Amino acid sequence: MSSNTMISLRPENVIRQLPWRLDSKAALGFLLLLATFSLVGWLYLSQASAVTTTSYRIDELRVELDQLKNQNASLSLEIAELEALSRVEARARDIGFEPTTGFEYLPVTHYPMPLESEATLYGATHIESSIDAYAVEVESPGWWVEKLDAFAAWLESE
Amino acid sequence: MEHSKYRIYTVMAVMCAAGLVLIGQLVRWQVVEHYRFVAWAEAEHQDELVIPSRRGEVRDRSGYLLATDLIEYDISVSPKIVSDPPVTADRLDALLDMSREEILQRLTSKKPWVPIAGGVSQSVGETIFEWDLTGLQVEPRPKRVYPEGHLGAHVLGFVNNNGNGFYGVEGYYDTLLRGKPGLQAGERSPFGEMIPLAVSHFVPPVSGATLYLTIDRTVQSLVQQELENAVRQYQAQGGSVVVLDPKTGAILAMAGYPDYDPNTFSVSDNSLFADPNVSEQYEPGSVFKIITMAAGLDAGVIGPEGIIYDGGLIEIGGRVIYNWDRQGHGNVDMTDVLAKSLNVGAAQVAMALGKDRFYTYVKRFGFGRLTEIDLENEGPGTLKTPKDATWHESDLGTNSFGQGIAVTPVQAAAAIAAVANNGLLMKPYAVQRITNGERSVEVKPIVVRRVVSADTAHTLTNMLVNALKRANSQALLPGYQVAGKTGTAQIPVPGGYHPTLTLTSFGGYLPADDPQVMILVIIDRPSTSKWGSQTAAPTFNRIAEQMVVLLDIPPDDVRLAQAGQ
Repeated sequence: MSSNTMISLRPENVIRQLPWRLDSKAALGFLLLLATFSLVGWLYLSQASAVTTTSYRIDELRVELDQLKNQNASLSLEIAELEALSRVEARARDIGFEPTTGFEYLPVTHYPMPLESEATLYGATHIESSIDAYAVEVESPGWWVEKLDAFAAWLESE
Repeated sequence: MEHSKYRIYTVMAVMCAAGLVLIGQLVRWQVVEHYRFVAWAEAEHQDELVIPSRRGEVRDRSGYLLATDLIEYDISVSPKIVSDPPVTADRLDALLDMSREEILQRLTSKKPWVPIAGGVSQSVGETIFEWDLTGLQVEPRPKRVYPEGHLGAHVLGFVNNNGNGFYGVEGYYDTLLRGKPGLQAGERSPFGEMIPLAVSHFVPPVSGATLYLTIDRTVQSLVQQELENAVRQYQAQGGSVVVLDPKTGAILAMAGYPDYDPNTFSVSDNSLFADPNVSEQYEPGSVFKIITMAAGLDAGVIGPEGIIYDGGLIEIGGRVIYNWDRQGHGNVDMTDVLAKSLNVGAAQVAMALGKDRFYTYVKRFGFGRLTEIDLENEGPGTLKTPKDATWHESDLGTNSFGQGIAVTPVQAAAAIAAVANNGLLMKPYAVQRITNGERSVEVKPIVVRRVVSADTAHTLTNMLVNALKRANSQALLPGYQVAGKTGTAQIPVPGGYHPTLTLTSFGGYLPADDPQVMILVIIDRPSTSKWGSQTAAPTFNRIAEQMVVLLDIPPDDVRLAQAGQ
């Protein structure tokens, strides 16, 4: 053993002199590789997490959609049951309506109205007089109109 | 020494045999049955979940709901994995119509799987589902519901507990209505849940189509009510009515009585399921004289004012045919033949036509074959022609007035409607529109064929109008020209015909000059009167009287005055 061999005990020298000391370039490469793997891993995990969350959310929404469709069908059915002819007829009888019999058709001049412009056909005066006649009718509704209104109001309240 | 050598060989042989068996088994598992084991392994962690499709709705022509699916839930339990049975029982007790003891008994059963409650309402089922309790299974199950009950039961049919449609449109359009089930396939966890990141496959279910019928629920209700009243009033065993638009063949109403409620089909008599209007056949009787007369007029062998001599009987093929009253009526014109419903006159027309032409016309009117109406279980009726071995010369005579021939009501209705529709036979149909999501398909009327000329149809319509007037028929409706014909058919029994029982009918249309509606009424075995003129004709009148209001058909003078403006 040579006597002039100096062994420094300073930490930086100890590290520098270690036999397994890594080359700085290799260390940098290793760090980069580690960082890349970490990044890819992080990306994968975050994506997997997002996919899983979204997947469960889709499942939940699918169930919710199904339930809404079911509720919709149930409401449609309820409406149909309320509108059922047998029920409407029974309620109509309850409030005094009777089946219609003994119809009498009255021919009404110019009914149905022609498709052409009324102004062209009859002139403005004729239309005004028609509107006036109608207005008089509306102002004094008969017994039948009152009954119809009562029935319509009852239907709306239902 | 020899003995020990023998033992060594024996041990070696046994070991070789064992080795061969082992190698053989390995080859079988690894090579021969490789795919089976791979599939088995995959099946252990791969799962396929079939997602049921929603069955389509059925609505009337105005959109009123006639059939839809209501979701109910079946609740069941796997007792071994229920975490806290007493607490679970407490929670279920508050919702289910069962005692707590009964629920607890099922939750603690030794069986691997126990049903708790079936047909639970939607709100209850969804509440239990949202609790997400381990061991409880909440399975949705569709139940077909018919909100109008009996209304149009025969046209609608029903859906059984397995989701299969039977009879009516439910049966005919079953494939369209049921849609296509979806599929969710993928890898599952040990807990049975799909693994989100694994390879998976999802095919969404496709809902069934919605059918819009040609049926008008108000007209249908009227027809069913009047039919039921008629069956009771005439103490009959049953009856049926077909109402159609002669210009398109669209069925506006179709009723059979007795009927059933499709909501409770499982407790109904099976014999009521088939629609008598399309599945059952009957001998039409004198209503068939419309066909005979149409054929005679179209072929030119008779004219509307042509006179024939009615001696009260006629012999054809060795068989004597009599009039219904067994009387001779002397010289009569063709309108009289219809008004007085003379069998002898009809037979003379058929003889003048000859068997070939007569049966050619009968077939052209669609008898003896399916109308191809879109309702399940349609029957073709029974028509014997000269080509059949069982046909007899006398059949020409009896067939001319509707005896010895069997038709379905819808066949008869379509044939009479052809006369109303200027001689064009239309294919009857019950569905006018099919929608599925954004797509909508309108069903167009189909002309089957021209059966007689338009002139013949007009002439016959006038004859039918006058015949009803001459007979002072109870079918006549004040203010409207009605064309039609009564029928009273004997009921065939083994060896001949029943001596007293009859099947009465009336087939007619109105307004005669511009037919909007064709009505066929059939009353089965009425007791108060055996004649169609006293049972089916007044029923026709009552239906027609209300129908002109429902369908907004004004009286002829009002309508013609409007048209003349």
